Amino acid sequence: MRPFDLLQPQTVDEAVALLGEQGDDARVIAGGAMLTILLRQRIIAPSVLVSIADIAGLDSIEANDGGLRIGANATLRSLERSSEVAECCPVLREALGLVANVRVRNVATIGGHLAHADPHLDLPPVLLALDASVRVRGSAREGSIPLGELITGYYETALGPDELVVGLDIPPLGAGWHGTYLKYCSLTPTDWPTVGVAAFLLPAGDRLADVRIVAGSVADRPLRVPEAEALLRGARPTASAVAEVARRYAQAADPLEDVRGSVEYKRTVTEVYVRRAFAEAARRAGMSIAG
Amino acid sequence: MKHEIALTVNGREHRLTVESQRTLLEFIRDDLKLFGARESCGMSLCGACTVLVDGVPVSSCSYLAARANGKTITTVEGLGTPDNLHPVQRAFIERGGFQCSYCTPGMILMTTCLLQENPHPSIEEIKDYLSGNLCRCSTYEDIIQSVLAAAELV
Amino acid sequence: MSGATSPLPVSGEGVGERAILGSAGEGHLGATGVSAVPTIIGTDQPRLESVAKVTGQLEFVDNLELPGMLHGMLLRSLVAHGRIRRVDASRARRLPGVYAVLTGADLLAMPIDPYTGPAFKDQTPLAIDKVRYVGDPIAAVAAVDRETAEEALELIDVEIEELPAVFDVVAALEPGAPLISERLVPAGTFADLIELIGGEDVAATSNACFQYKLRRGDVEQGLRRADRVFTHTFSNPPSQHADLEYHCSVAQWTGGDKLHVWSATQSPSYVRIMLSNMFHLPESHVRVEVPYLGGGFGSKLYMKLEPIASILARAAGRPVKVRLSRREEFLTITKHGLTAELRTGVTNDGRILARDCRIMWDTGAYADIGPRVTHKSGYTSAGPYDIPNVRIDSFSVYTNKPPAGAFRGFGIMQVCWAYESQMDIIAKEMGWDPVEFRLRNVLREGDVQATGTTVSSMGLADCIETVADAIGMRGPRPESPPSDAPHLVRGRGIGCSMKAVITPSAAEATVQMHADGSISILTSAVEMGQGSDTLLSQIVAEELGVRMDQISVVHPDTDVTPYDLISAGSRTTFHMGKAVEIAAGELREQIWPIAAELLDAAPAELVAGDGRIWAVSVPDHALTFGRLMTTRFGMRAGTLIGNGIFETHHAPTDHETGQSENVTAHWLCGATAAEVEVDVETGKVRIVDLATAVDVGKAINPFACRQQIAGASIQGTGPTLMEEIILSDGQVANPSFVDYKIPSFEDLPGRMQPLIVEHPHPDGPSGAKGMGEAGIFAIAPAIANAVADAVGARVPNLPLTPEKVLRAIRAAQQDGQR
Repeated sequence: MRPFDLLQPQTVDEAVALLGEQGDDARVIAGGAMLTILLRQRIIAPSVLVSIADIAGLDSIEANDGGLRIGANATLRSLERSSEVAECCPVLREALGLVANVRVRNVATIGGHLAHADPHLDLPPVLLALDASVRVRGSAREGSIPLGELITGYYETALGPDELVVGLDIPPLGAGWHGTYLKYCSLTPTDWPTVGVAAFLLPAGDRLADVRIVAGSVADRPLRVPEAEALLRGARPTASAVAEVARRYAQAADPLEDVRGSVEYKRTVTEVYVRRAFAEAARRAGMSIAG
Repeated sequence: MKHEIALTVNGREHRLTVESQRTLLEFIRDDLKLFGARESCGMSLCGACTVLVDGVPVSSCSYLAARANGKTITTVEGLGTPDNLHPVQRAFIERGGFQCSYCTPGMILMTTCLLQENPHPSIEEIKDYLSGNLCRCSTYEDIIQSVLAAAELV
Repeated sequence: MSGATSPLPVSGEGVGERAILGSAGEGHLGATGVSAVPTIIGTDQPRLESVAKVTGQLEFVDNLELPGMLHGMLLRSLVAHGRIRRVDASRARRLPGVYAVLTGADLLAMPIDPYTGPAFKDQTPLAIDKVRYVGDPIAAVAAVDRETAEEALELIDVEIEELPAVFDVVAALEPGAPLISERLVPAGTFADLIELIGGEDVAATSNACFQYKLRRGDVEQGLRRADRVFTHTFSNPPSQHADLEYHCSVAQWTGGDKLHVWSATQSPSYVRIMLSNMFHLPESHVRVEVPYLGGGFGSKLYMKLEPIASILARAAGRPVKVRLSRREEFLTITKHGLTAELRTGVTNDGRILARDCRIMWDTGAYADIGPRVTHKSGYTSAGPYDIPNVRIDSFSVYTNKPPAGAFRGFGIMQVCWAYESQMDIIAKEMGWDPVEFRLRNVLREGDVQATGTTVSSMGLADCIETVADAIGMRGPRPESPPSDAPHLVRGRGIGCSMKAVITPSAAEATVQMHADGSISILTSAVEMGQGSDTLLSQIVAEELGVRMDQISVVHPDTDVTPYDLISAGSRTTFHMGKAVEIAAGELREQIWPIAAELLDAAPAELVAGDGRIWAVSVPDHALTFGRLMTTRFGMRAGTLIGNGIFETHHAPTDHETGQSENVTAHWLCGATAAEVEVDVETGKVRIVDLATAVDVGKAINPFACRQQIAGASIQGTGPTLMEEIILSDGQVANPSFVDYKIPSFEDLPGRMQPLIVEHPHPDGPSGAKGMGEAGIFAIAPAIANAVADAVGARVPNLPLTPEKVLRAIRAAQQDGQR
């Protein structure tokens, strides 16, 4: 690592002020799970790191009217082991258990995970399907941004240079929803996902009142294709309709070729896993998919 | 930038100065001369550098030493000694859960945490918890047996 | 699960009991009457160094710190092939904390021979006139710490004139291909290689630095007479050993003419010889020590960092440690990529009549041990079969890639991938059972192998039957696909292989008995996780009757421990095992007479075990070895010493035909059978059951044997399913564990069956043979054959990534529709 100054503010205001002073040369470090690796690889070499790890009260996990209110510094492991998460968002809990490994989850924070905006992460697809939003603080604003608007591209977010993610809000899913997150790794299960699909559905009798499908790792941000979802909404799910939805996700996917597969292959497995994720969500909902 | 840090390592208190960019692994090996934690990937992926920070396992290769201020660190050397082995260490010997042993301190520290959280893990749970710890000798089957044996001893 | 169902005994406990029936044929015990003597051979013994291993106290080179020690780092080429025009290190030299900066030009100005290599002297610690791959070291820095060294590297300016580069073996052999090495200067160190490449320094005319030829019978006539001829090409890319411990060497000079090196090496004796050559020092002035290794698998063979550490230490006047990073591991040594074309003629009654093999080995920018890989795997490139007509042409070819060297099996894994894949294609086409087809043709006792050497003590047929039965290959097929998961299809496959152990070779050992009767074994065998310390101790314990806890193994220290060729090639059990057995026997010849006198018995009546010795007829009256030593020296003093030398010899192979009546001291062999489940929608392969049997001769430590077999098998699934060095314009695109994945807990087969087969070898210690490599030989084809059995599709180039498998499935479906 190239030398840098590690600043350790004790409050959000202090952190925001420090970021404002330091400008583009500063980076926020929370758990440091990913940032430290990028520093070691010399992929980034900021002269200042503003650590938000010591800010008190930023690691809370609270039930909030059937939803969750989470502090940015809550670690992935604490979320995974939280009874509130297990109760409110069991699918999120399942997905948490698939992120990297236990050691990484012990240091990685939810705020850092989201602000990193790596399209290959497991949680953004699930959180996007859950309509989550992040709380943001900066010198010019304090407010809430839907997750879909936070992530704007590969490692890019809508955050300004002195803005921090301070929390995550997950609204209540409502009664009757069922969902799943399926992760596919082409090389080894300990890898990033080649594709990860979150699928949630709300049955109404033998029809689908609502459906949300988000695919991760296959575009510069979590991929949701509303016109494909619309094909299922209000209808009885049929194998051919689900296959069509899966095809549309595959068409919309814009993955990068890497050791996990070519663009074409990643589209293929996107199709397979959208289909499988929907089928698993339907199974959990007790719905059958007509041949 | 230098940081004064005070921390407890294996029950012993230390006050030292570290640079911002120093990793916990460098601090443990180069400053404290404890060699049970080892680098092998430098990316939190292999587990050879595992140590416990306030009782939970982290990859010390990617953890800034300055962040360990005020924390309690346990390395494999703090778990048990040759004269007083930890039950998990005994189980690894009894079941031959290593070949070259480069990964072994990490495997053992992970196992102690797993058993605290889950005293009687299934084989699937063991594989899941240890999945981020690599063994190139591929002694995985004997490590699983060691963990199962440790669950009986702990 | 391979794990023993019962715990390992703690040292000294749980040894077996062997009834000694007195007869002259009972070896050294030569006892009369009946007595129970504890036996150590054949029992599960925990590793001697177990406690150090679980407490993190085991010594690795990187733990070593010397007063004033500096840290060395390397500046590496970003160009695949180019002429060095200028290297300006002046700014780096001025950086505070920097003690030495060296370039290739500096090496030429030093009183050393910088050229080195186990086969050809084609590599220098720093590139001198040309760089030959992306990653080739250009300059080196020694500084007070790694950070300063790294900063200094960034201050070195390099100007390189790019030359055309070649990354493919076929292209590298074409006329007009850029010549990577201009001269071929034989190294002249290893007997087998001197014989092969001669001693002549010649101008290179192509990128093929070595060709191996084997001719047996008349291959063209055999192919003409065959009922069917099959022609296929198989390949595998380079991969990496990924041993968890990085390469690391520390060098220190004392008095200007004594060099002391501590290194993570599998070949300390070789390193001493080479450093002695490089620095024009007597071997006695070069001391190489090896503590323990965090894995090797061939990556730590021959010289790696020892020269640059020594040169930097010389220039800086201080001890220097050089340690690589994970990224640099990928730039230092790789497993050979291979392209193999096989033409095989069979008769309708299931016999292989002829096989023609043309094999190209991608040895990268420097030959390293490529010629030996080419040669040793050449012997058996046609497979472990009785084939009357064989032609083998294999080439070791330079390319502008990171150097390829030894990897577990010295090339057998690669050639086995080719011939065992083709065996199944043939069996399927001809409608034969793949197990029976192999058993029909496999070499058996007394058969003459393709080299002209008669096969003996090789239980390969037994291994094949053992693994086939272990996964139920001859039983009913599993339900496939299951009704609840129609995309999951199962299949079974098998593969088998054999290898000639490196011959000629020499191993030496010294066994010392101290005044209290305890034992030191002095050996240059390197303990790298394979369990050699424990195994050698078991042999000595058995031979002398001492307890395991009385034995200590002195690790390689060339000032102290005698010569050993290398710790590689499954050599140690057979060669060093025999050397310590001989050394212990020599010690016994000194001790037994003392005991005989004290016990008033003939030496032949003595029995020893559990640290005591007694006359077979008077078991109540036993003496300790300490007592014998006190008797011998009249006080608590003295050391008795036994030496053992075990050499193997061969008859040189004919250059044109590769024929020899004795190419090897022994054959090692193994077979693997796999059941897999293929997801036909994604191409993902899951291993349901993996059974590997290895003929170990005699399992001296059965637990350790099973551990090695399981370890080799699981390690072998890596290059089979996921491991591959990916190059982009000669640059390694995935030099980290982020993008180079190795098998983890989550990749374990559903069931792993490590199986021991024992066909004793008369020359091995207690009949034991080499075995550490054999478990990995046939993993790839067994899995690929199982995939083909499941989905009717075949991927001819490793690894079997889901994408390639899916493409093959779809191609097969389209073929089926036509």
